[in-house]
Amino acid sequence: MQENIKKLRQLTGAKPRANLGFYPTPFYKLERLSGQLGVELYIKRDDFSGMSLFGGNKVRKLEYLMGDALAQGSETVVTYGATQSNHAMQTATACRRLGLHPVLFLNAYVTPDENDIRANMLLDRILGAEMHVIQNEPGETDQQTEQRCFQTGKEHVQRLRDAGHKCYDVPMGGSSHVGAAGFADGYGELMEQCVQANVRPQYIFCATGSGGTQAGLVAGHHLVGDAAQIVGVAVSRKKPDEYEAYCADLANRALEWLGSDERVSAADFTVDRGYYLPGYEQPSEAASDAIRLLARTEGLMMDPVYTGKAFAGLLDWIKQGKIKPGSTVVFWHTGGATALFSEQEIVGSVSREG
Amino acid sequence: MKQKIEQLNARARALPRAQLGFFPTPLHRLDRLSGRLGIELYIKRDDLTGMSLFGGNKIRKLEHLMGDVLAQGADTVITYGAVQSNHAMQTATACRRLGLHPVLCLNPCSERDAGNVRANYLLNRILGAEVHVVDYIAGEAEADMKARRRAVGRSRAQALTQAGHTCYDMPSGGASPLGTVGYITGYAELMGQCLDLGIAPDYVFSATGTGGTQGGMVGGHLALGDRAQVIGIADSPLDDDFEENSAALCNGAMALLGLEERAKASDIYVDHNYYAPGYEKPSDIGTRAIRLMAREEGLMLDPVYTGKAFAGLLDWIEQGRVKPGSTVVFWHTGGVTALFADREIAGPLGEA
Repeated sequence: MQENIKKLRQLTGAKPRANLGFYPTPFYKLERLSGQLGVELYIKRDDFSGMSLFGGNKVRKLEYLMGDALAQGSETVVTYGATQSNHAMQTATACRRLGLHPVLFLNAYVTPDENDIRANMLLDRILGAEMHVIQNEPGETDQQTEQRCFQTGKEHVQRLRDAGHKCYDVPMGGSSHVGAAGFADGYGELMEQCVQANVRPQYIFCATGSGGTQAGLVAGHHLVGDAAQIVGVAVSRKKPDEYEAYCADLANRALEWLGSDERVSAADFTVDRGYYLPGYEQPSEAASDAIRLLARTEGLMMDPVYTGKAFAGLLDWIKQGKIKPGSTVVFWHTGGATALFSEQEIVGSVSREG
Repeated sequence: MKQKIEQLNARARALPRAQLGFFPTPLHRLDRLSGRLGIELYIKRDDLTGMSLFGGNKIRKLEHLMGDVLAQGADTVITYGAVQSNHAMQTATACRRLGLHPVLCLNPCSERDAGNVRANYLLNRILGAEVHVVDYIAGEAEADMKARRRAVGRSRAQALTQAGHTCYDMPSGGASPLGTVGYITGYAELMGQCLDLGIAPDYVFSATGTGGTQGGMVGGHLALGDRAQVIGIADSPLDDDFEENSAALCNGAMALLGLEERAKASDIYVDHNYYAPGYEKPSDIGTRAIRLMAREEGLMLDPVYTGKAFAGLLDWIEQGRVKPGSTVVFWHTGGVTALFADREIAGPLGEA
């Protein structure tokens, strides 16, 4: 296995990469919670990626995306997301570190209060990113707004290119094959840490949204050939089968880009859709309870949109016996804790006393 | 110097200590700002102490203080601060990691501050800390407020002790000789990293408030005998005897480590020119400094401490008090959650 890890990291190491984080991120056992839950629970701290305090999983993807942007001589980077998008904020942060101009197209699922700009959107403002907020129009579904957001952004990119600017277009969530390759590399990093700590994970849990993180992890897992099952807990509605196929395609394009002949299939993706309700960016009691549990047992913070729901899923798998007592489990903290400081509609009951 | 650093660390290891952070914290050069400002600018990232994302300078102190808590067999920790106190939040976080019960006695800095569940106050709730907010009395002398805050802690300690608990009383800001040990070793950590990078700082800048952080840095500096000037930028109108108190914290900590060097009040250099209009009140120069750091380097400072301290450093450079080409370390002491506090603390940062 060590030979496979080395090969994987040689593949990723051959690609252009911008230095945007502090790696490896910490990996260690949650002693108190392990005792309480009866499993060997480890945490992979990608919330701690740096370089800004507010890093997170997107930084692994951005190291390769921005490496590519610099290699192409870009001066402007355009990307997309919700107004409280972690990806958009981390992209703006990366741009500032590298001296590039960040342009964000943000759709407003939750309408921001101009007198009380919060969380990631506040950070975007401090970073001085060029922000275009696309509001939900009456009668429009969230998907339609999102489509309009992409469309407007693409037109903007075209205008900039026509005017002679070198413009790099990053998809929502950084979930292109280039971004996913960052998480294949991240998987190699985790496996190196596991070898060193003599830990053999049976399960690796993470939140899954735009698909790039899980695609990269599964690609990395396939190359390493270890025994872990990777479980993605969906943070929004995902069409049955279609999402797994989409992720597999993303993983395969990442593998191809890295110069590997290996391929994965949709069947390699375990996506649990049981924990995202009532919907994306909408808080749940299970997630609030999960956030409180980790805070009160280990002094660590998760967020209501991604990691809180993913951790709620893991807790339920343990409770239901889908994870046997004594199993070794890694929870991949993908960051995003700034959402705790966002609008009440997103934060939910975790801010209540008690 | 390497030998002195090792000796200092060996002495620190003899003290009880809880593992609460990821050390060493990163030290790195700010390439773009260095070019722009014409100096060699490095940043010491104590905003990244961990272990929670929302760590900060208090974690270095808490490693020693919590070591003492555990050694004394306490199950409850009582501490003090403002409603948005970083120290209080980090103490609650540390308690949870160690399985202890956190009790926080907090004072609002304004009428509105009292019921505003944001930033660190929100984190305290999530952590399930036992929080007591004392009434806000406009115009009250700080000493009177502190006495009331202290009384709340005392009476709570009494009740908990009667119920069979063992309480540990921790000063606000973790500013005790034992807590200050954490910044003597922190300074040694920095100087070890500087040796590895082949740099010798001319200046080390940080925000200064309760005096423990700066006292520790000065202690480390005296023990190692390096060339740096340690400069604290006051975050509030500090008491007249601040320098003396900070030196006393330093000397208490030096004694705990068995080190012979002692600080005089004159070794504590504080610049009082950058806190206006007051503690936890935003300023234009602070806002500008935060934006500059974010837009040149993609790093976040806070409006209460590090933003004003960085504004002070920028002014020293502009005035020529820091000469072009000098090597400067800016010590990021954390506290970035204050960006998410109420507008009366965060200021106009959310404006386009």
